[in-house]
Amino acid sequence: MGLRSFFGILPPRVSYRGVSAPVEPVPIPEKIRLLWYKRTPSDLAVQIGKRVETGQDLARDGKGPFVSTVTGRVEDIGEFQGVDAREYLAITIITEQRDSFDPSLEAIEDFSETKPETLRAAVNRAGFTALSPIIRDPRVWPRVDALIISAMDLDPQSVANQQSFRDNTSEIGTAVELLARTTEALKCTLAVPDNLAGIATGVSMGAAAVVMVPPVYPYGLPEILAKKYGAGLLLHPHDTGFSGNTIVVGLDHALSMVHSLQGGKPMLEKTVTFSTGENGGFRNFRVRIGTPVSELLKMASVEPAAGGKLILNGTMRGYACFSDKQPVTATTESLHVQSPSEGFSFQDTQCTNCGKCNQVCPVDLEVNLLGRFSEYGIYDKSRTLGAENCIQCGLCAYVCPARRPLVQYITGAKQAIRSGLEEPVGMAEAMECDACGPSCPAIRLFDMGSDTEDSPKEKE
Amino acid sequence: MKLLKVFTRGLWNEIPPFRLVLGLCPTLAVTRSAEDGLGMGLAVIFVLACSNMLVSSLRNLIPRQVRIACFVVIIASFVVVVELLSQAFFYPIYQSLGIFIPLIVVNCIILGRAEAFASRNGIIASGLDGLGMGLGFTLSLTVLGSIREILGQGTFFGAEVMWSSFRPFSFMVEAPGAFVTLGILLAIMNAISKSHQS
Amino acid sequence: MKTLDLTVSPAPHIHCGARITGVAYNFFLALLPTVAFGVYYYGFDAIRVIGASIASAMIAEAVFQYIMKKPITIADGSAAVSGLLLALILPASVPLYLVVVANFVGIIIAKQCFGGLGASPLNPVLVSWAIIRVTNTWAGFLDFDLTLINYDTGFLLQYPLAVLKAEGSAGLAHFSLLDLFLGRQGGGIGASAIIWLLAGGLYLVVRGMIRWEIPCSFLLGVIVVAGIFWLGNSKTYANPMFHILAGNVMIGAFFLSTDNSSAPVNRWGMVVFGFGCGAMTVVLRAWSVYPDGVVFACLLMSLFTPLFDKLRAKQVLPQPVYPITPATISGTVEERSGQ
Repeated sequence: MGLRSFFGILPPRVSYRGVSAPVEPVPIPEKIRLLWYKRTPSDLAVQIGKRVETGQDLARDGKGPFVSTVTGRVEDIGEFQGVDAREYLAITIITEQRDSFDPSLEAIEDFSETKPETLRAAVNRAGFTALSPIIRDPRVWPRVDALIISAMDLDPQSVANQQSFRDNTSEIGTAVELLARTTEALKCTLAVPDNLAGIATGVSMGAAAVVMVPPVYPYGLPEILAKKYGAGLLLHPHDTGFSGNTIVVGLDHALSMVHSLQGGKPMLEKTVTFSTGENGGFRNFRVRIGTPVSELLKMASVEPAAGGKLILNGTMRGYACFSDKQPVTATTESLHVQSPSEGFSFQDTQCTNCGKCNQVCPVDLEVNLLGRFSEYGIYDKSRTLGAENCIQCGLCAYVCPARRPLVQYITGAKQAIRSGLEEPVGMAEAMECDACGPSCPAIRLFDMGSDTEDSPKEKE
Repeated sequence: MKLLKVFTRGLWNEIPPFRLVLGLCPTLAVTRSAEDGLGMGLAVIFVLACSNMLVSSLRNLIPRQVRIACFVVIIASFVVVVELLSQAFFYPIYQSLGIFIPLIVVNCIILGRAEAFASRNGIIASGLDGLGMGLGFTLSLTVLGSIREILGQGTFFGAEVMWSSFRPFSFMVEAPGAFVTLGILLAIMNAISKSHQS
Repeated sequence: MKTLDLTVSPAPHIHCGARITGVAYNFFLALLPTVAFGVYYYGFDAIRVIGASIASAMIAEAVFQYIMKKPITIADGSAAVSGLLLALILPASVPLYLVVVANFVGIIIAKQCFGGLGASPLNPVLVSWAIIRVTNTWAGFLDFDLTLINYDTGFLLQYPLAVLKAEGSAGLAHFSLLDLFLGRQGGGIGASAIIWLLAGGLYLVVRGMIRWEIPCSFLLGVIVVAGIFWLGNSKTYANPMFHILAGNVMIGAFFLSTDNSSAPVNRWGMVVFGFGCGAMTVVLRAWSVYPDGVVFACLLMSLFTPLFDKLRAKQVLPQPVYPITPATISGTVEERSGQ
């Protein structure tokens, strides 16, 4: 991927590779680490040395679910700096290599017979944190306009959702059923990459309309899916193209949900795509949540080169790990081992005004101006140019011949706008969620104009 | 000592076209040659010193409300003197300066010094201020005119100074050349005073 | 336990591989046939002018950046491209000091004083040329008919636009369009090599180094406006094809007006910009005192670039083809939520 061909008639594209990589289970490691954002040890119901069971809720009442994914003994409770440089509460558990399940979890046989409230409670209890904020508070989220179940992956470096689509076509209908019922969405859509269209024909997708998505980045991003096939993308208050709430759920995540509820088990595992080198070595690993990435490296018997990078969640929007102790979380989609020669370094050069970034921006920003205003801290200008609409897809920095860190400039402007200059309506709420960073599999995009009936602001 | 300071202020610290960026109209228009610049500068020295002294001596008689009109009348009378004198004794310079001699009346520097200095200070100080400012203005115009004349016509006060095969760069005596030269001189002055400060 | 040596950096972690220098190298590659053309017909004089121009442009940039204590960026090639382009629109006989002065003024005043590559509101090449042209004492060096009289190129070395200015379209009878296209006309070292400029320009468009919108709308502007003039009075004004194939239009459309920092970056802005350049070129050729108007037209339209950049189309992502397959298992969600 990456380098443009000598006669590049088209602008550079980041395409998805339609590779098939069978899912390989990874054994439970000796030690796992669970991360919890914005919590203190006093929020925990367990202490060091206590034994926990798989599926046990480690949180005290009223603090939301925090589910253990293994059976074992709590070794340590401390702080951990995540890939996004935020401080997490980390619980380290020495595992027993086998599961004894917490008895309070119940299996649900037939989703169509169960009430949405019961389903929400069960999903919540099973620990699907990325969905829980939407479901937990029906007062704030009265209506979900569009539900998109995506068989596209966030990034071309990940093939987990595509593999789920290949492997589990027969269960997609059930997943649609479960999610449509849980979220009570008005419209339900299944996004399928073009190259997998052959698999999709003739299979019942439940109540979902199927859309074929070009297998090109950034079509797999939740924001773009919401913009194209959902209720619309609105992040900027001045934008007039409003529609409503869209929930985007990765297919792998949706299927885990189905299996958990049917089996009466918590959310245990996550499919993580492992890749290395420029072109490949794609492998899908099914790992316990909390497994450190060093286990994945051991499993693939790959050793990162000195000065290389371990990149979680893809090369376009993902994070480089600080260490190989970084655990797999519910939002981890892929792990890419990058050699130093494959990467590049940003440069502190000035904009040459070539306009390549304007050509590739999927949300139609004037990046050439935005980058310069943001670089020099003229944030009110950045705001008029729509800095808040940036979805940080990274395409502008990908094509920039001057190799400017455009995404960082614009993100800086966004943060400055959000924290200081002027508080955009609804933006603070959008960023309050615990589980999702930019790579949230269930990103919520919601109404923030006060001119709509269902606006949470007016209801309060 | 204080009077010396008043006099020298106009020569560097507040040199009119470069520091105050005042009176740009004649600065840009009449500096096609060093001679024109010098002639214009001398005219301005005379008008500035005389009007400053007169304004200063009448400063208690002039009502505040109509002071600008009074200043203009004073300045205009000296400008008429200059115009008639130059017409009589320096006809070539009068011809090349043309409309810009009568326009000294509305020159920002003269009005500005009358308003800012002469109407608040004594006669001697005002005269020295006018002299200093006028000298600074003359100096600027002569330097600007010399550069433009040497590069644009190959002469200095009318005498050939460049080598014989020199093809003058007449861009410099056109209007854009004036802006470019002024900009470069401003930049150099700023650089010098910046290095002095640090 | 062994610790890993890991690099941490913000996203994105990959890059398409483009570099600023790539643009300059591609410009050189695209202009290579044109330079060869100039050297073939004008010999050592062409090499002399091209070499002096490239060298003085790079020296001007380096000297200025050294004085201003800025990082010296002549290695990115943009100054060298400016120098080369200036040489190509000058006649081969031009004295070298003129080239040097023009480059110093263009690079320092038009480019570096405004902040260097990407920040200049006008193309330094155009400013350099315009400064020579408005200098009355030097303008004679740019008169192609007078200065090229000593060269023996095997074809009639006459500047077609000067003929048009003097005699109207009647004097153009001996210029066949094929001759013009093959470069058999008087003019700049490279500006008359129409076919090679076209080839180089198309190469740059294909490589994505310049956008196709500006050259296309430039040529369209020339054709439309020249056509209007020609239909109105074909005795005085030349036909549109002549206008495209004579003078600086081809080098202007592909190489001069497409300068990144002085041209718009949004599609419709570029179209209007290019069309304006083309239209203004023909108007200047018809009514101004100068035989050719390409440079002044481009300079004029560059001043409006910030305005043109406000012209923006709304849609960005191409609409994907999506055959919607409505499936039914247990009714639609709307039906169920309505119950």
